[in-house]
Parts: sequence; structure tokens; C-alpha cells
Amino acid sequence: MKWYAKFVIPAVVIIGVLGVLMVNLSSALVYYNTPAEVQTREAGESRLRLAGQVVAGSVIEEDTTVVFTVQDCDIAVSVIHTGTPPQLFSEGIGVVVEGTWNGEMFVSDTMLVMHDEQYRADAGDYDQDLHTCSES
Amino acid sequence: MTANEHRTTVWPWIVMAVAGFHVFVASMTVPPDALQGQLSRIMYVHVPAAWLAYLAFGITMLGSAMYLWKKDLKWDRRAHASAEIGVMFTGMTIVLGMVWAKPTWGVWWTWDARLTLTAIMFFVYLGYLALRRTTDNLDMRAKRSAILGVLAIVQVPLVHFSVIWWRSLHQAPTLLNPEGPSMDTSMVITLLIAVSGFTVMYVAMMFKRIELSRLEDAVLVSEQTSSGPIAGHGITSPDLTGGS
Amino acid sequence: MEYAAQWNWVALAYGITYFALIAHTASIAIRITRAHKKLDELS
Repeated sequence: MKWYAKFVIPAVVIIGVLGVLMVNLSSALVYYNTPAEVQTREAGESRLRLAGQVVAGSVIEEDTTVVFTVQDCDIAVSVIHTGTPPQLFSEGIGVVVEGTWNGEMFVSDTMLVMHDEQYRADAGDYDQDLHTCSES
Repeated sequence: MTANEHRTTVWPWIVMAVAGFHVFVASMTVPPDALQGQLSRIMYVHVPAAWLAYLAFGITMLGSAMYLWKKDLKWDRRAHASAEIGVMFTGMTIVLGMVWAKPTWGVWWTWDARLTLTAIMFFVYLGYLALRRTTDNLDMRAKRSAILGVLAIVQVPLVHFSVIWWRSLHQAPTLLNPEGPSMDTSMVITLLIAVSGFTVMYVAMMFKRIELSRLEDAVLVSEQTSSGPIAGHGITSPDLTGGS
Repeated sequence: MEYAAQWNWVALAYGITYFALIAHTASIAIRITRAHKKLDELS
């Protein structure tokens, strides 16, 4: 049956792909934790994501690591990141770091830059707001 | 060689070229964003592509609902044409988003709510196009796909508001921001030019794609009836009473 | 900021955009021509 083959192959592929996507959706709905939430976590090996703004003056770059503080809703957490940060990484920008919480510091191996929905030709007009504060 | 004169409209091609040119000029002359630099120019194609995906799937929903109501195959052809173009724009949105994400966020892809839901939407509408190939019976094909065409629209608000409803890496809407556009006026104007340019291109493509749907249906009908010249009569709804 | 590198990303994005639009439009045009041919054969 011609129509049968025409349909079944794409159907199997599409349903398979949708299945994979659905599995990922559950974790995608809460993409990151706030500094306040991370602080209440027990130290451990479980991987999580932390989002916040890089505090001005806190960035210390070394050979393979970057140490800095991220802050959100007046709560700050220290981060030690191993690896090269993304191009747009700078003081004041939002970041999402992936890794583990050791009770004192967030140990990260993956960093993503998170920017808000503003676009300004002049840097002075910026007022970054990641909208994360009101949620928690 | 009398019935089928190969009459075909040319204006949609010209309209597309003009609109495409305007979008390009506008988005290359606008001042760059202070934070992202030249990378912000990707917005003027990424955002319109996403909007046109929404619009196209909205038209698919309308066409599907109208078919279920009127049982007129012309609505089915409109729904189909729009879905095909919508899938193209969704794919374009995803790929452009990846090209934008790599230099800004630092990754090509991540499983954030907006990205995941957009990928799901892409594959569901690909499924709509696959579903249309399950039967050569025009009425049955139209009915099956119309039901999916109506149901699948729930994904559009889900994709659009995902950045507000859930915590995502993707930023919130800039233009349809409840507190007003959070962007300089020159950028707002450029983005509006780009969105309208893309909309014009969508309309032009729709004209040609519907023309194609009419021809494809005519081919199917004339293959099925196999007797008598049908070309030129393809616009009329085929009589397939009791056929399954 | 490396501006040359930034322009490369922009060029890639616009290249993809216009390529996709032209390719889809061309595919519609080709399918229209084919359908006309088929109708001629069938009639």
C-alpha cells in the first residue's frame, strides 16, 4: 500500500521526535533557580542551573577559571566557573550557570549569557531587568 | 492545448522581491544595540519569521474551521497552503534563533521552554503535512487535516507566552511588552518595517501556493476520473459521493 | 568586541533567511509548472 508507507514512516519519525521533546519539556519549564533557592538547597552532586546578574567588581579571572558573584533580589551567591565564558560575559549582565552547589559556592562548568528584552543604541539607556525577582 | 493555457500570475514574485529588499535595507541601516552590537540585526529577521509562523498557523486554523463549517474545499486549500508556509517560517525561526544564540547566549541550543515548545510546534505542523498524504480522497483528507488544523493552534499562545508563564532563558517579548516596547524608536520602526515586509511576502507566497493547491487537486481529480478533459475545471469541487 | 566576527553571524542569518524564502518560492513555482504539465498529459 503506497499511501500507507508514505504516512507510517513520517508518522513514526514525528511521534518519536515529539516524544523526545516532551521528555525535555518537563525540565524546560523551570529552566533555572534563583540565588535564594540555591542557598536553601543541600550541598550535593545534583546538577542545577542558577541565574542572576553578575555583580560589578566581583569578577576575578584566572587561567582556566572565573570567580564572580551573581545576585538577584538582593541575594548573592559566589560562583566558580571553569571554562571560557561566552563573548557577551561582562559585569552587570545576566548569566545562567550550570553545575553543583557545594554549600558555599556554586561550582559551574557551563555558562550561558541571559539578556533581557531591551534594545538600546546607547548603553546609558539600559536598565537590565530579568524579571526573575517577582516570581520567588 | 486550449483548456490549460498555463496562465500564471507574476506579480507575487515582484512583490516579494520588493518587500525583501526593503527589509534588508531597513535592518542594515538601523543603529546597532549597545550590548549585542551588530548581532542585534538578527532580530529583524528572527522576530518577523516567528510572527509569520503564528499568523500562518492562525490562517490554517481559520481555513480549517471554515472548511468544517462550509465543506468547501477552497478553505482546505487555504489551510494547507498556509500550513506549508508556516512550517517554513517556523524552521527559519529556529535556525535563525540558533545563529543568534551561539554568539549571544553561548550555545546553539538549550532545552528552555520557548525553544522546546517551538520545536514541538514545528513537528506537529510537519505532522499536519504528513497527515494530508494519508489519503487521495479530497474530502476525507480535508476533514482529517481540518480537525488537526483547528486543534494545533493552541500551541501558538503556548509558544508566545512561554517566556512569561515559565522561567526561560529566552527573553520576554520586546514589542508586545505590557509596559510598552522596551526598545529605541528607530529600532521599533525598523522591526515594524521588517514585520510588514515579511507579511507582504507571506501574502504573495500564499497566492502562488493556493494556485498550486488548485492545480494539485485538479491533477488528483483528473487521475481519479480518468475520462474526459478536466483541466480548467479543477477549481470546482469534485463530486465523490459515497467514495471512501 | 570583534566586529568582523559579529558581521559574519549577521551575514549567515540573512543568508539563511533569503535562501529559505527563495528556495520555498522556487519550489512552489517548479511544482506549479509540473502540475500544468501533468494536466496537459492527462487531458
